[in-house]
Amino acid sequence: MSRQTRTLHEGYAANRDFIAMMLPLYLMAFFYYGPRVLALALIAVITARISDRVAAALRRHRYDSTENSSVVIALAIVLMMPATVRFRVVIAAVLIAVLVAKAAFGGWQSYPFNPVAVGFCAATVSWPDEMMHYPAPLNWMLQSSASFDGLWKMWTFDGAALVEGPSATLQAGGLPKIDMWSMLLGNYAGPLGATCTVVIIACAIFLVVKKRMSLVAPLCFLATVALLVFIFPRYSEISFQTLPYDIPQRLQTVAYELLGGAMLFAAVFLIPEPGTLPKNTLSRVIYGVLLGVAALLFRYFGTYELGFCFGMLIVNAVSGYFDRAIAQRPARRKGVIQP
Amino acid sequence: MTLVLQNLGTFVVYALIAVFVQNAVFTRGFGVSRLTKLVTDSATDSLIFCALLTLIQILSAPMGYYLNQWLSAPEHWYRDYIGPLGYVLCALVAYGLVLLVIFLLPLANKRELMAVLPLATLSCAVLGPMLITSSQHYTFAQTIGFAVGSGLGYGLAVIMLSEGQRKMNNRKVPATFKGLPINLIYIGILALAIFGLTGHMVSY
Amino acid sequence: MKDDRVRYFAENMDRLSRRDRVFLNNPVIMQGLGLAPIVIPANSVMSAAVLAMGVLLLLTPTRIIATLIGQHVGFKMRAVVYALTAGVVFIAVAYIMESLFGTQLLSVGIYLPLLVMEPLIVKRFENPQKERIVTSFKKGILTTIGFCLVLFIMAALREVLALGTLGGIEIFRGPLLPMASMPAGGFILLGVVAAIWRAAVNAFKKNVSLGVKKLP
Repeated sequence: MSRQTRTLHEGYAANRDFIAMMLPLYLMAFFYYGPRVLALALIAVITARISDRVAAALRRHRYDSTENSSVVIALAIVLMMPATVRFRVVIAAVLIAVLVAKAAFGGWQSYPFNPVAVGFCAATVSWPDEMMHYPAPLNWMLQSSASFDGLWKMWTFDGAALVEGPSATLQAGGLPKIDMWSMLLGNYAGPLGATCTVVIIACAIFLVVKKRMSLVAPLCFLATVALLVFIFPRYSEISFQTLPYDIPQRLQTVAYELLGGAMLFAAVFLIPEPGTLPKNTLSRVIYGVLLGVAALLFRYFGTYELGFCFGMLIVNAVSGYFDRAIAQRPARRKGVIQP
Repeated sequence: MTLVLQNLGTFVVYALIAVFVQNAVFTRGFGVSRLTKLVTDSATDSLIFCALLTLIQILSAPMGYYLNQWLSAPEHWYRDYIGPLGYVLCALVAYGLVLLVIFLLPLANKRELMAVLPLATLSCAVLGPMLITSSQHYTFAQTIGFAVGSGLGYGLAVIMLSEGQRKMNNRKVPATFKGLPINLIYIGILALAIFGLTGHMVSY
Repeated sequence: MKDDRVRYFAENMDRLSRRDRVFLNNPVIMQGLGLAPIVIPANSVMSAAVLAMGVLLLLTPTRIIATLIGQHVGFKMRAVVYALTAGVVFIAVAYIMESLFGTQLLSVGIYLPLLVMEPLIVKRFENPQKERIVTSFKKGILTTIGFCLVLFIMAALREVLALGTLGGIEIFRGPLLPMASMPAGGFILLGVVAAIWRAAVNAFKKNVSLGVKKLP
């Protein structure tokens, strides 16, 4: 088949842009955590592609290689994992995301739950310790001596200290000891690609300019989270009695909650996912607000640091209702005669 | 007065626990068989079913509580054997009471209610919470709260699953997955989300 | 397939797909009965064995006795008869189970007494037709076999995936997917198994109808 006659899948261009915007994040991840990150991404993409082929063969459909949403799913899942994660965890998460959450529901855009969230949640509940302990960034460079042993340590993170993310400190009622520059640049122990705020914002600007995502739902989500954290911070030295004098500390908590725990990453790469995002503007507002509330509920009362994905599954289950409820309202425009 | 408030607080907390953290469907699988049937066929109104189920639970929970109080006396060594029969009897007494009320009240859809009532009574979603509250020795307020919460939690599951039917009846869903299998996967993914609240399996 | 077998299946397909409780009309896969015990407590072959024994002892006797009594009461009271019979039969079942398994019963917890109201066992009350004793015995045994088949398949799958063992014997080191032993994994895995099973049933039926066309 020549290149001209080949028809591209309808979601190809949008997904290509999302993949392109994940590459800078992988570059940062490579800088922080070394070559292992790229191997994880490669394994994830290969698994996703094979799963797509298997799903197409089982359904006796022709395999469409331009249907690249599975690559987006695979790359996004890896970006939310620690760099030390084993390969089998990545493979299991991608298999569940692509085969169970996507293919079983009919593939491209017909799934009710965001496949990234499903795959990530499955990996988190299966291997909670492995998924919630992160290596310190830039540690691999110290290991990279020319000896075989040094290279092996660089690859496996053998002996590297694993720590919990900033959200664990917040959960314990304290403030993380990370300065704001590190938070913005991602120079702290966290998910391998979801920490670098500056790059994520740059990617978001690109996607908005190319009209690949609308900002309504992500902004409502972030605003809700910020407002709720401002009113109910987890920092134990703040209460309603200290209210007018603790606003700087409250703002600091808001910053830590928003920047840590992959909140911003989720807002840019998970929420605009076209299959699960409502169509109507008003229902997008409701969707964003509910996601913010659910994400914080799971963070405050749940057990896992990246509670957003769990909250997203719950909200996805009811989000189809908003579109219908809003579409069913009778149009009250001037000049339209109501029956 | 404080005692009343305290008990009311316990009631609300246990109701919330039963709705979300220990949802009857998503964490313990009570009444899943009925649920998958309820949402896939439109013959019975699922909300009527849930209302009757909650009613039966609220009525049978106090009886189950007092039965358990009586059975847990040390001389009743046979409690594990006749316990289930006793709880079935409690549910059946509640069934009789609701049947009587339906019979006496001037309702328009009497016949439909009477057809759904046995299905709502003979359900794991009624017996399960009673067994949980008795095996974990809940107090009276806890028992009632748990019963109300279980009924509401079942309703929540029904609403979520009915909403999902729109996506699950999609033309693109593979033919072999249509019906029961895709519903099970849907429930499984929601169970995964609920698991994020507890982080461990609930006791049974 | 041999010609005579094809002919047999083709002539009886309607009847078989209603009555065959093991493959074509499995109570779990096709009718969705008895899901709770399979999905939640059956995460190892050992607890599956406990549940299977419970169902074996409870299902057929309940069905026969309830059929006997049910012939004398109206349709409205059938639900009551079935529930009470199951409760009474359970007294004996609990006694036998305790002497057989002892503390291993703890691994299934409340799911053993819960069988009393399991639709798998009491669902028959919804059917207004009366049935004969012999039929209820046969159907009871067949339903038990069909249920236990799926129960053991699921339990073995879940144990291998979650622990890497089968019946306590180690097969490989390191679990493949610990989620399989949780409720979420149980639901998803049963959904996948049900889909594969249904695909197999469809393939079988298609095979038979193709075979009929080729018959001389």
